Amino acid sequence: MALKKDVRLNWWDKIYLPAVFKGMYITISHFFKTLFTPPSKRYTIEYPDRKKEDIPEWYRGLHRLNTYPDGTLKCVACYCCATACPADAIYIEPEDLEDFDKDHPKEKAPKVFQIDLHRCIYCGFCEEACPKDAIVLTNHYEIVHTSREAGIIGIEDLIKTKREGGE
Amino acid sequence: MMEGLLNPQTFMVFKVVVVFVAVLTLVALATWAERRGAAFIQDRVGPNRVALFGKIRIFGLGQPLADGLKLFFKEDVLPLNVDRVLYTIAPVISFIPATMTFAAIPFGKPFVKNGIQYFLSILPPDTNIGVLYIFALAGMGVYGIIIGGWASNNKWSILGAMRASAQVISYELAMTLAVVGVVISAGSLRLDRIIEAQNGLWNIVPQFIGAIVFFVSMFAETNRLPFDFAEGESEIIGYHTEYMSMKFSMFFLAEYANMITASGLFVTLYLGGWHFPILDSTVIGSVVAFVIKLLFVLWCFIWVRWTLPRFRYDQLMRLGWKVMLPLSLINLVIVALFYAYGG
Amino acid sequence: MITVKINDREYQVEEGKTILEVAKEFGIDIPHYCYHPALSIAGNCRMCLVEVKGMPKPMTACSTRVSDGMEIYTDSEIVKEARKGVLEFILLDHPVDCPICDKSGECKLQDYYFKYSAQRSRYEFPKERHKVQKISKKIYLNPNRCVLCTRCVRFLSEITKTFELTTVERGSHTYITCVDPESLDNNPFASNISDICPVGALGLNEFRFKKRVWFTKKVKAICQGCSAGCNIYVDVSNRKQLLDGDDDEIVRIHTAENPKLGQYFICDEGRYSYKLYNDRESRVKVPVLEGEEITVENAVSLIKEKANVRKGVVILSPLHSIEENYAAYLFARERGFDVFRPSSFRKDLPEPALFIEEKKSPNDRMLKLMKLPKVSEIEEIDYDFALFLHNVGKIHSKSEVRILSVLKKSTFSVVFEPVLSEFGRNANLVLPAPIFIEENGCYINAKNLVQRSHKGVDYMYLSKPLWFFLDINFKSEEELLAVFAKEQLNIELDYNRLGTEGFEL
Ligand code: SF4
Ligand code: SF4
Ligand code: SF4
Ligand code: SF4
Ligand code: FES
Repeated sequence: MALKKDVRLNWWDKIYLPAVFKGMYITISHFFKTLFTPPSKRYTIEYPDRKKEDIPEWYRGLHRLNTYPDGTLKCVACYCCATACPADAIYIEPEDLEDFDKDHPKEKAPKVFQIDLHRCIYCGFCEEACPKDAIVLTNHYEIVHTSREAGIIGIEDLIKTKREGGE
Repeated sequence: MMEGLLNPQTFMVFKVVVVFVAVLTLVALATWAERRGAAFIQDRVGPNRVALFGKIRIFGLGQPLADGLKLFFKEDVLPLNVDRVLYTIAPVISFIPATMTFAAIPFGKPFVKNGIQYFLSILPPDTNIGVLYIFALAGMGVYGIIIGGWASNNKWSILGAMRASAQVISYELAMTLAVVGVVISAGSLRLDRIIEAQNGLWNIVPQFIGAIVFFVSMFAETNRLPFDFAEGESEIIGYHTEYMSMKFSMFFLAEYANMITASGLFVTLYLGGWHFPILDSTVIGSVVAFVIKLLFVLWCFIWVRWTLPRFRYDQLMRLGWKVMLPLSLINLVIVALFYAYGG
Repeated sequence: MITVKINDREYQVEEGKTILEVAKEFGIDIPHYCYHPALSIAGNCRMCLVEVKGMPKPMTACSTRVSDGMEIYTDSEIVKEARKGVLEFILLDHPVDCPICDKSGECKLQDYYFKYSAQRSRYEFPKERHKVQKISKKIYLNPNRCVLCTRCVRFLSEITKTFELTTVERGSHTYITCVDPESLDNNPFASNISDICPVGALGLNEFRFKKRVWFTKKVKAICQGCSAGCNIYVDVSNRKQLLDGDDDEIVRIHTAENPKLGQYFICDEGRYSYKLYNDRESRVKVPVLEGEEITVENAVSLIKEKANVRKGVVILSPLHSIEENYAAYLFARERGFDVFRPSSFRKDLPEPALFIEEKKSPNDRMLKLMKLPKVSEIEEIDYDFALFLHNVGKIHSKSEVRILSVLKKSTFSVVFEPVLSEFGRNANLVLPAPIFIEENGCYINAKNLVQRSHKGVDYMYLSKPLWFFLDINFKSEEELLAVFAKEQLNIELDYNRLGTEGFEL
């Protein structure tokens, strides 16, 4: 069922021109506002010259693999993240830790854990899916590579990603 | 030395070159202003990264140059099944009248040197048909669009072209009738007379309605938003869908050249031409006054474009036939009555 | 026949069956762990509790026999409550490390938890921990995950009678342990315990951490190892991932039960035979003519041209399906060629042998039924055209020698095989054959049961079914089966009629 709105214009509205002038006033005021705002204060951050300082913590940027305080990976290579990943960006090769010890009762760990940052769509599903809080998305957004291969990063790089807000 | 060179012939050549170069430069500047202006109106930054020698950024002024180069070096593909001849000449047809129209517009005060009078317009002002000439040529411009749309053998192009032609015809009527008021008040078709008649009181004040009608029709004539039906990027893409490279840029140039001419015409007809208190006491001053006014009207084009949304086609037609035409007639009657009985 | 009422509906059932069996027959699902159709009844998991009218407490469906007029409820409030309770008890000391458990995805505990329990654990104390052990070369045991159904123990004591696993300790400290790893290594059926374990307590070392089961596709097929014709599931990796190259790789083979055949297990040889089929390197990828690769179209027309002779021979194969063999047979009949069959390879049987057959070929029976002469009866071997069907696997060595000499002697010889062998090397033209998982095919096992093996993956490389190469006008394998059944067995047969359990001749 179509909803018809009954609009009645009075003669002032019917001239249109006042509304046009009002609109033009608004646009020109924005024009001058932007014109007299110094570039550093504008909404647009001209990226390579300036950088955004206050990236919120929930921003979904570069991944990080968390470790226990003693440096062992939290990841158990369970593939939950790879299963959840809509972009098939995660590749895992598991390893059988036959001699797990009492403190870290881990049977399985990733031998290879790669994320193809070019395939990744930064949805954060991997973080949601992880039962061990092993993978998190940090707020580092400068993810640039000069080749496709360089965008596939492994465990060594992933554990080096800084936590939110430096460290 | 200058004195020696100053004879009617060299001055003519000088005028032609200057006007042509000035108009094309203005076109480039207008595209820059359009983009930067739009950006600022929308709280953005706009193109600002084209830099001289990769260092000096000059507010993106290099952008039109870069765009021009890009268009120039683009591959020019002749699409399959187009009408080759028409397809090729269409941009030319729309570009030439756009630049030619300017010839009639006086852009400064005439001056006398060595007993010879020099006029600051390319055509001598005593061509009795000044206004007529302009309208004749302005009417030509739409041929380029129609031919381009037709020759492209593309339904979007032809749609754009058809809409453009319908629109131009509708608004030309109202526009011409509005100008008749100006002609009556000046008593001449000569543009210099019209300017002269406005000394002291610009036409925009006594003929406010006519000015509004002319101003609105101007947008329709140049296919600018809110009446850009020929182009209509968001729905039908427009008559130049199949165009690329220099052919496309010719259409592009024509659009901006048309804007400049239309601005010049508005300044001449309603804003007192080169008249301006104090400033018009010298020749240079009068040219400056003219250019300033022209730039302002040009800016209005841009300003309006980024303020108003596009009309619907039926709205456009209704506005043209049911509002603009009666208004211009009313204006005509008022002016005629005034000059018959009042003045 | 007696009448019982299950969930207020009356059924006519045979006397002497248990409630669980009866319910299964009528498609009523009763959850269970310790019950296994091939094993004795233990009744220790309590998962199968149902309400029987007149009984003060819920009864175990797996161990209660039906009696006339019995009224059974499988989803009353009491039953639901009981299942919830049983699951809570089982999960008390369960590690719930599903993310790294290889059973996860096909685990009965997971399934039942979501279906019948779905409640949070109320247990607050530390759980008992045992070490994960590789109890044999093939099997690992994670006692933490065990639900103590003792299926594994019963399998090893009742079926193979080797008694390697047993429970130790008592009460909640009970766990499963291996008392004789060596015997487990040598047990030709040991790997079955990973299939019959309803949870992730027993698993194959080979499959450990290899693939999550949800990245695989289960294809029901027939084991190619011997003429017993065991039903198997072939798990094919179906992870279409750019980074992951092992698409369509066979990751494991496990048991698919066939009650009609009375088969609930498979032997380890068959289970680990999947590696033979993963060898992509040595696959015949394209038709090869005298060492030169040619296109499929060229191969088809070449065969047509070369087979236009008077004296030709087609040697069928017990290693191929009915469809492939019969296509070759029709081809020969049309041209009046001789048709022979090789003898199957015979192997020494392991101890215990159980259902393992001596003949190492899945379709030996078909060729027998067709009453074809053996290759040893070939008299003159200088044929103008020879076609031999070969597959992964072996045939009798005497037949091998004979066939090789036929291939060598013939003017033009063609071998249809998936992996290049001595036959292919001695033939003029080698055609790329699909492996069993790439095509629909039927096999007749030693007990005269016609069974279907399903197509699971696409034809790899340029391999095509034989009827395509021979340009026989068929649209699908199914038509070939129907023609075979009609002409040779004089029955109507199609894939529908075969069903899941096969058709007994
Ligand atoms: S953020 Fe999304 S796309 Fe990227 S790896 Fe994680 S799940 Fe995959
Ligand atoms: S990162 Fe988390 S979800 Fe991914 S494999 Fe490791 S433990 Fe599993
Ligand atoms: S046995 Fe089942 S419930 Fe237990 S960890 Fe494995 S998958 Fe999970
Ligand atoms: S190991 Fe598996 S089969 Fe054996 S008792 Fe435990 S749960 Fe049952
Ligand atoms: S299945 Fe009945 S008690 Fe285990």
